[in-house]
Amino acid sequence: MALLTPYSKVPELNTATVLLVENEEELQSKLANAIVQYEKDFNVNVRLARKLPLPVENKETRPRIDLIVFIVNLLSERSLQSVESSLAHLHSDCFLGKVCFLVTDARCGSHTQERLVSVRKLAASHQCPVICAEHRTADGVNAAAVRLLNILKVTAGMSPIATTALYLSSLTRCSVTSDLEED
Amino acid sequence: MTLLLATPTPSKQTEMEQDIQSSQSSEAAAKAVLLEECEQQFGLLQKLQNEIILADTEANDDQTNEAVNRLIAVTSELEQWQEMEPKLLTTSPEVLLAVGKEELQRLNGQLKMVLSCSQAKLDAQKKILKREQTWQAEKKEALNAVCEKITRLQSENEKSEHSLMEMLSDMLAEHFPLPDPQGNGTKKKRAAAYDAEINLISLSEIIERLTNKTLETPHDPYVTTDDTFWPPYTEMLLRNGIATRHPEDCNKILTLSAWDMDLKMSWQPQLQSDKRERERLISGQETDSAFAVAQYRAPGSVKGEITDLLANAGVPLFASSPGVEMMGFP
Repeated sequence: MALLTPYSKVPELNTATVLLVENEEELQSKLANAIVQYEKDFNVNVRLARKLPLPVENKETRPRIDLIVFIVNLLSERSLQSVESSLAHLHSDCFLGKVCFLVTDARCGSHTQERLVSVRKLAASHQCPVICAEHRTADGVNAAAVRLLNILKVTAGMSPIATTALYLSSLTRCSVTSDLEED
Repeated sequence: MTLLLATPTPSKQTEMEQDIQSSQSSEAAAKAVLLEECEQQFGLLQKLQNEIILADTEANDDQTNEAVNRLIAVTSELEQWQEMEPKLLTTSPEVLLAVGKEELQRLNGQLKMVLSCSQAKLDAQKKILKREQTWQAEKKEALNAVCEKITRLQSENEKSEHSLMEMLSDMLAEHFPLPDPQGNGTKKKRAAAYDAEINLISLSEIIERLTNKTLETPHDPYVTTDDTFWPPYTEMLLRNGIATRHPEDCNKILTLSAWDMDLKMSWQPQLQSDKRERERLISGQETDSAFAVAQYRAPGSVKGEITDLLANAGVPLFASSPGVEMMGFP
């Protein structure tokens, strides 16, 4: 089993690596550009993938990944399904703060509401945060990039001493209230 | 089994690198010290990493419950934080100065943001408070006004109830006064008549006596009529169903309990039906004194009708106030 493990490699100096996993590859590149543009203080490596497991060939050259972002497009059913299948290839230690869900098109219809509920339940079961993003405008992409950078800084250890990835995830994890569950 | 990597080390490294850049102009000794620290930390990092890899390979398929995992991770992190002691980066004062300056400036900026934010919130809350206070004042005013109105209405209500009795006595005094020897009629007969009737009591007194007797002695609610009861008044009470004679003794009358204070209502139905009967009774009354009933010309009023009745029957009426018609009975 080639699981993606969180701590199997030594971190690089002054660098953070984020992995964007998206089935449709719409938002990935835009978000990657925005992230790289925004961050000046340290190096950011953005790696893109369609799904897990990652190809074995790059295993040695790949740096340690600090944050894994699953981008889910709520307008297509396959997006969520591919994310669910990819989750199986993650080591369970990754869920202690290194995984984040990003959803797009959350306001576009009734089907999206149901899928949003299911994404939230999924995130709540793994105790990871959910970010909603709007990918059609540049402002939306920039905003999403800034938010991801904030989380990335914490998971890569660049933030002040007392904030660790685990702590942040405990604070920001998605919670499903009983109202949602009744829906 | 999970091992936590000491996450502060990369940040320290970045800080050290920044410090290195900022203290370029200072002595090389400080630089050397910092580099030494960096190397140490990096060595520590490698050691920990090796341990982690070993641990991972040992317990690879440890897919236990995520919640349990999380619990273990959080508790071990907590222990780490509790054990950790604050430690200076380095004892070199230039580095510390530079680092301290930078930290303080950043903190300053953040606190300024916090201050402006909380000021804005405070202003908004004050506005809301003012608005709510004015709203409350308005509502209080409205409440006071309504309460005043309520008390006013209640007092008027009471007064009107109270004055009902007053009105009754006023009316009785006005319309049915004591037969008064000051009239415009023939004085002789009047004088002769009134010699016998000096101690007449007013209608209100009659009614009062009747009600008191009824209330005090419900088994014997009869009042003995005597010369102090002016006969026209007693006849009026009897005719209108307010009083009835004692079945055995013709000198006693009692009050019916089934009459209400609205005299109009008790008189109205009688008027139309018993006109002739009344005329007959009045004319057949056995008395040799002059009858006198005060009458007022109140158009459309019950009294007007009664007096018309009496006038038709030939009962003498005399005036006791201006604007009143008077008829004499020869």
